[in-house]
Amino acid sequence: MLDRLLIESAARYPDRTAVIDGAESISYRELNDSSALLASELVSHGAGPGNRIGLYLDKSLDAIVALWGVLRAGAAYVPLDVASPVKRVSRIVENGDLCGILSSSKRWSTLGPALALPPAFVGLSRAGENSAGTKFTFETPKDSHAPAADRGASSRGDDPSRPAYILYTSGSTGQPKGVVLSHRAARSFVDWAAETAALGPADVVSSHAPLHFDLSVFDVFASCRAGACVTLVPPGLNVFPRNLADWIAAQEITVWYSVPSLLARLALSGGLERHDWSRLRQIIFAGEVFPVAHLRRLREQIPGARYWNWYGPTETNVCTAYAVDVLPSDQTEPVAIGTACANSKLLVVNDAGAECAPGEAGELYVSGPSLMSGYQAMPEATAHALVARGDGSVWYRTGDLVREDASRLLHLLGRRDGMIKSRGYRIELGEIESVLHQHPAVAEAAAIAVPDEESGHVIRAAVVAGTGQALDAGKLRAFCAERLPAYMIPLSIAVRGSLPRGSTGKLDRMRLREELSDG
Amino acid sequence: MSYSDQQIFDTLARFFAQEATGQGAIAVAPDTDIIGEGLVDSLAIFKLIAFVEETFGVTIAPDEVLLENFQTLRAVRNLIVKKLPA
Repeated sequence: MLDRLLIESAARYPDRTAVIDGAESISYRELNDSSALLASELVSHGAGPGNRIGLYLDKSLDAIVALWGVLRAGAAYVPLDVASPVKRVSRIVENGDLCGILSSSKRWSTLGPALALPPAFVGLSRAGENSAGTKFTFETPKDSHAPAADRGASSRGDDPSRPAYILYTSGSTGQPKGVVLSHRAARSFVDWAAETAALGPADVVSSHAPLHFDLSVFDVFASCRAGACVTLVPPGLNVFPRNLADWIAAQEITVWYSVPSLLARLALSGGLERHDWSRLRQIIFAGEVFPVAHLRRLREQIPGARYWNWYGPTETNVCTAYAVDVLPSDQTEPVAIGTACANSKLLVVNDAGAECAPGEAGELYVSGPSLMSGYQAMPEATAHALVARGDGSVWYRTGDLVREDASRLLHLLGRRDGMIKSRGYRIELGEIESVLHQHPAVAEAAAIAVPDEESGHVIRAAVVAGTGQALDAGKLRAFCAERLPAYMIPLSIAVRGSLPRGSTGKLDRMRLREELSDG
Repeated sequence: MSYSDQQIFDTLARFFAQEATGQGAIAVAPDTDIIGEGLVDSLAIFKLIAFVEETFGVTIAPDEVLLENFQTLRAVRNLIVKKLPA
C-alpha cells in the first residue's frame, strides 16, 4: 500500500529529486533502489509482516531510506526520538517489542548500553561512505532476543490492515502510548492530503516535524505520491526565525506544513518583508491553535498563499480541515477546524453519550478508515479510546470539546482531561507528575499548564518534600531531564511546604495555576 | 568593564551548568555546536539572550538573533565583544 507510492513515483519520475537534506539529495530512482536493497537485508535478518523496526536516527536521507526500507520489508517502522532521554526510549523499545533497530554508530553508542533487552539485530548507518550496496551495516547485539511473534496479526505482506508505523505519544500513566496506524489508515489520509494540497511533481515541500510526530506523514508520503521534492528543515533553524525565513526563500519551498507556533515566530520576528514569497502557495498548519493575531500578521506578509488549518489527533490522522477565509480585524477567537475530510465521519457527543444538537458543545468522536488500529500492547487503553456505537461502527473518542457554528464549521473549545499542547507536542500532565513522584524525596507533586501566547502552554510544577527530606529544584529538573523529553520538562519547579487543596482533599489546580503563573 | 575571552567562555558555560536549558547540567566547550546538539531550543534561546544581556550589560537586537551569532560560545563571545565598550 504505502510502499507502492515510492515504486510508482520511481517509475514515473526516476530522475527527479525525492529528498534534499542540506547539501545532499537523492533521486526517486536512488531512493527506490537503496530502500529495496535495505528491505532485502532486513528480510534476511528476520524482519517482515507482523514485526516492528525502530528508527533511532537523526532526520536525514538515511532516515528516509530506512523508513521506506522497513515498509518494503513488510514491517512497521517505529521512530524513536533521538532528543528524548534514553530511559524513555528504552521503555518504548520494550513496549514495541522491536525486532531490530536502524541507527547510527554515534546514536547507538548511547542507546545500546541502556537497553535491558536488545533487539535481534541492529543496522548502523554508514553515513559518508559512498559505497555501493546498502547504507547500513548489520550486527547482532549481545544478549539480544527474538521478539515474540505477533499472534492474531496478519502475516500477509499485502494486507492493508497490517501496521505501517507506530507513533508514540505522551501517556497519562507515565508510559508513552504507541499509536498503531495501518497502511489503509495512512493511505486514506495521504490520498486526501495530496489532493487537497494539489501536490504535483514541481512542488518543493518542507519537512519540519520529526518522524515521531504525525505531521511527518504528510511530508514523506504525500510528497512521494505526487513525485514532489521533500526538503528537510535543518533542526537548528527552529530557534532562529530570520535564518528560517532565509532558508524557506532560498529553497524555493512551495508547500509549508508545521505547527502554528513556528509560523507565529516567523510572522513576528522572521523579517519576512526581506523576501519574495510568490512561490509559496500553500501554508498548512496543524497540531495546536494558531493565535489569530499572529495568523493575520503572517497573511499580511505572505498574502499570495492559501492557508489551511488541519485538525486530527495522531489516532485519527487529519480528520477535519478548514481553508482559512477572511479574518475580520475584530476577530479574536481562533479559526475553525472546519469540516470532515477524506472519509472521516464526525460526531459531537454530549455527557450523556447522545448526539449533540447543532450549536451544542460536546466531545468529538471520529470514525472512518483513517483511524488507528489501537495502542501497541495496551488493550485497556485501546478499549477506552475506541468505542462501538449503534450500528457497530468504531469511533475514536478524541477528548477534544468542539461546537458546530451556524455555517456548520466545527470550532475547537478545549480538552476534557489533563492533556495539553505545547509547541504542538501532546503532553499528559500525569506523565510529568508520575516522573516527579519517582524521585525518592518527593511526597507530593503537581504539574500545571499555564497558557502562553507563543508556545500554547508552559509547564510549571510544584513539589512537597517527604518528612525529613530536602529537595533542590535544579536537581529535580535534572532528574526530569533524564526521564522526559525537553518539551515536557517543567519551566520551573517550586519546592513548597504544601499544595493547595479543596475541602475534599482534592488538589485545587485553579489555585495552584494562579500561584505558579507569575513564575 | 573588560573581559578576557576565558572569562566570557566561563561565564557562558555557567549558563549551561545551571541547567537553564532543561537538558540538565552540561559542560560546554567554546566550539561545541550548541544548536546542532539541541542544547538551546526555541525557549532556551530567550533565556540565553536574557542571561547575556544581564550579565554583560549589552543589548541584542531582534535582527541579531541569528544562527551565526549563537551556534557556539565563540560566536556568542564575538557578538558580546563587538558590543562592549572598547
